[in-house]
Amino acid sequence: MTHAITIENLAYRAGRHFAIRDLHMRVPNGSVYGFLGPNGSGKTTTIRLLLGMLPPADGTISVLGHDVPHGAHHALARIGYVPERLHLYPMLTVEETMRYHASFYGRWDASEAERLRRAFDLRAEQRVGRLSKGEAGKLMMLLALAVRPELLVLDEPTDGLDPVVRRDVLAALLEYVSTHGATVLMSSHLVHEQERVCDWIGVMDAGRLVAEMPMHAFRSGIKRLRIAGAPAHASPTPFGILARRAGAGREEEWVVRDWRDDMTSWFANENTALREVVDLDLEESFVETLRAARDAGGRAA
Amino acid sequence: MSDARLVVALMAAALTFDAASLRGQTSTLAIDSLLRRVHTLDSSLIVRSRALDSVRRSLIRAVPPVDVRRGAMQVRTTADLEPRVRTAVDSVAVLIERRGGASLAARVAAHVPLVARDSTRSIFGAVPVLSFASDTSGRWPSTTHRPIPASATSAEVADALAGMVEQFALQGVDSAFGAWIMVGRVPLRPARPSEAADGYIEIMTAESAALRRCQSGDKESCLDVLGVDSLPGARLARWYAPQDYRTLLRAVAPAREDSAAVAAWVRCREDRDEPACVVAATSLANDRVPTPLSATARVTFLREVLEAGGANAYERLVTTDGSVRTRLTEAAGMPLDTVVGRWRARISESRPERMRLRPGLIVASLGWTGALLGLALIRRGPWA
Amino acid sequence: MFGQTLYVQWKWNRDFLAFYTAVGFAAPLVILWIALPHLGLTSALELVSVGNAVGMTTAVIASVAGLTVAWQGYGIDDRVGHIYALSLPITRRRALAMRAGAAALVLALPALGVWVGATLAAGQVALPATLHSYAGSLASRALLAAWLAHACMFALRYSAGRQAKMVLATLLVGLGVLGIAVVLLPPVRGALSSGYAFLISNPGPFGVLFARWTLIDV
Repeated sequence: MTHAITIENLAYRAGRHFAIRDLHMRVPNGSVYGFLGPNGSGKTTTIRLLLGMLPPADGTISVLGHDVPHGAHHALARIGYVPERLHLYPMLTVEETMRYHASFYGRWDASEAERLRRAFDLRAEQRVGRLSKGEAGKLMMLLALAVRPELLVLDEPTDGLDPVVRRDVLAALLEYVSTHGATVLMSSHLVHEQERVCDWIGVMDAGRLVAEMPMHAFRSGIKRLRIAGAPAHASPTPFGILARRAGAGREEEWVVRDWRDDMTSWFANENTALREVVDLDLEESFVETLRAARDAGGRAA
Repeated sequence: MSDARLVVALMAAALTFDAASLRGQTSTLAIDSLLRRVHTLDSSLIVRSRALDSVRRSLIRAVPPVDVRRGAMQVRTTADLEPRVRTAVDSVAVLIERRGGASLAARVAAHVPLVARDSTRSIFGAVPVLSFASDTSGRWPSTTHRPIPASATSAEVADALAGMVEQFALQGVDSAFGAWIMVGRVPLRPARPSEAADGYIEIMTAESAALRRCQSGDKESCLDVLGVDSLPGARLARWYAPQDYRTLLRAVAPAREDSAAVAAWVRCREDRDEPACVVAATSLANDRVPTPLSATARVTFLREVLEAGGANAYERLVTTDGSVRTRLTEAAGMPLDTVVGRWRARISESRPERMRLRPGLIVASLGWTGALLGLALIRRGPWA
Repeated sequence: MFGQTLYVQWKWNRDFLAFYTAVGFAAPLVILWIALPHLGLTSALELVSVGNAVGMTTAVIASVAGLTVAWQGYGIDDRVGHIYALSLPITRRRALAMRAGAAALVLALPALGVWVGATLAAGQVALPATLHSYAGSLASRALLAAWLAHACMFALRYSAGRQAKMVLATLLVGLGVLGIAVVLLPPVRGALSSGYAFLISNPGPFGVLFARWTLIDV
């Protein structure tokens, strides 16, 4: 599998403290990679690093085969980027912004841009500074898609948008991806949105990537088990234990990852009764993953 | 001779002279002999006073020990300044020989200037300078030159000494010529680049009917505005037309006692009242009407006279008796009309092209602009 | 790409440019309009003085125009956090070069205003034969001064290297400090004047700003 984005040992210092540390990340070609994490976890910083906007303190970044930040301008010519906040010049109109943007990209598709403008119901003569939040979000997505990118980097593209606008933006994105097979890196803290769209997931917390796996493994592989008679110290398990908590009576609640159905036999071998296997949704899986990562970090400290 | 011995010798000379003059007196009571005695005593007092001044000066500030001479030029200075002063003296001596001849040499030889280290006050403390005094004796120097920075080059020292020589050059010349030249020196040094340009600007912007006649070719008017002749008659009518009065009254005011004229002067200046300008201007006393051109123009004209006259021009200038016109004509060795023609031609050629955009200025400006823009590119990382 | 950069520069600065162009055009006319009734019979000295006033005003207009365009351009990117500029597929050098080039072109407008206004103003006055008008030279100086002022502010805003800022700050501060020192310390004028003279005369960095600025001269 080749990767659109490869990050190794990335570190970035913001002020006196490391905002990003020991970050390893691989975004497979053609995937829709969901970049999950709480506010302040370093998602936006990571995105800016891989776009060459910030200089890394350590590590290597490769985007579409180009070394970043030295070859960032080559990579950027093939990237459509939507930042978390409006980044366009407020005094230009929609049409002027499109013309300005187009002049930097040899791959700009003017007819597609115009089609999207009409579809998004954006008036050409309207000044960018006067656009509503939803209109601004649509314009940024338009600009990102009209350059016919191989990689779309979207930083909370639907944050603050109403459901109708959010639907329009995601629909345009998915249409493009399905038609052109582009790779998407999309950061968000809206877990359910990621669940619908993404096929890879990376969970970021406190400047580190705490989990990276296909979405189906994340969604289906994390379970909550209700157990009776659990040993104090479990022998090596075929699944990962994210958390052990006391339950009702003498029962315990285990949160595990990488679960498969045939793993129930392990409990029989351990003389432990597995009472129930509970499926977790993506949000619960995300929370448990974060909690386990923080607990592990606390124990390490 | 050391300083101490010099002091003793001067005191002995003063006392000896005094005793001899007294011993020579007879007891006759004739008025003329009394007068002679008074004159003699007066002379002895002057000499004694000068001797005491020298003693006082040598006690307060010693004469620098190093003597630098070349030709008529003799300068006293200190050992550390000797190399620069020697080079400067050589240069000035050449100037004296080439431009002044024997008359100038004699005038210069009568002085022994000093060049010494000194300091002057500034708001941040003492600043080292080189001071120039025209004489080693006498309390008050006959000529002055402002100090120059202690780091001055030999060329700058030579320029200062040459300035003093130019002042020596005017000594002994009659006061009428001295009053005409106004600046107290004879321009022997080569003209500074700005001098001709300053002359051009003055002549082309000065407001004077006589100057306009000069500009259109009337050479006598040129000599008139240069003040060569002390012509009788009303200077106002000769030099200025009514259209020039307002500018004239910027430089001069009526007598305070003439209140009507003063009031007219104020109206002329503040209200631009042209009739009031006429009243104020016509009230000026004849000797208060300023000449149309300043000393700068006269210096340029005198320089032209000396150029025209060649090697002995200065000699003839100072040895000729008579009016300013006569002196200048003898010095030039040609009619003054011809000199005026040459002077006007030289002035015309000296038009300063102050607003012309020289290629060097354009290149330098664009170069610095490019260099400053290049500074903006000094950054390894992105924008902010 | 450059065309669009130029358009955006114009759009950013058009209000200021319109103002400075109008002022550059009007200043010679207004100054002469104010002075002419009082000149009465033409006075060469007064005409030169009026010409000087026009020149000094033009120098100020040109310098302020250059400073404003550079300040404005950076400020607009600063307002959006430079994200847009950083996200475009272009090297920083090329982007800055295009901006500087575009700014140089738009700054021609105030100079053009000066040229037209000064030409019209000089045409209103009957100059004596000894005086001449220098509308073209004045406008050219205005253009060079605007470019120089723009470059100073451009370098201050965009250069992040400490050395670059120190070089520029030294030039500007040195100019001010030396100028004050030369006035307050006449005895050391000889020592300082060589440095100060270099700064303010050709071929120093500010030679064009301190050259002669006048509409009417000999």
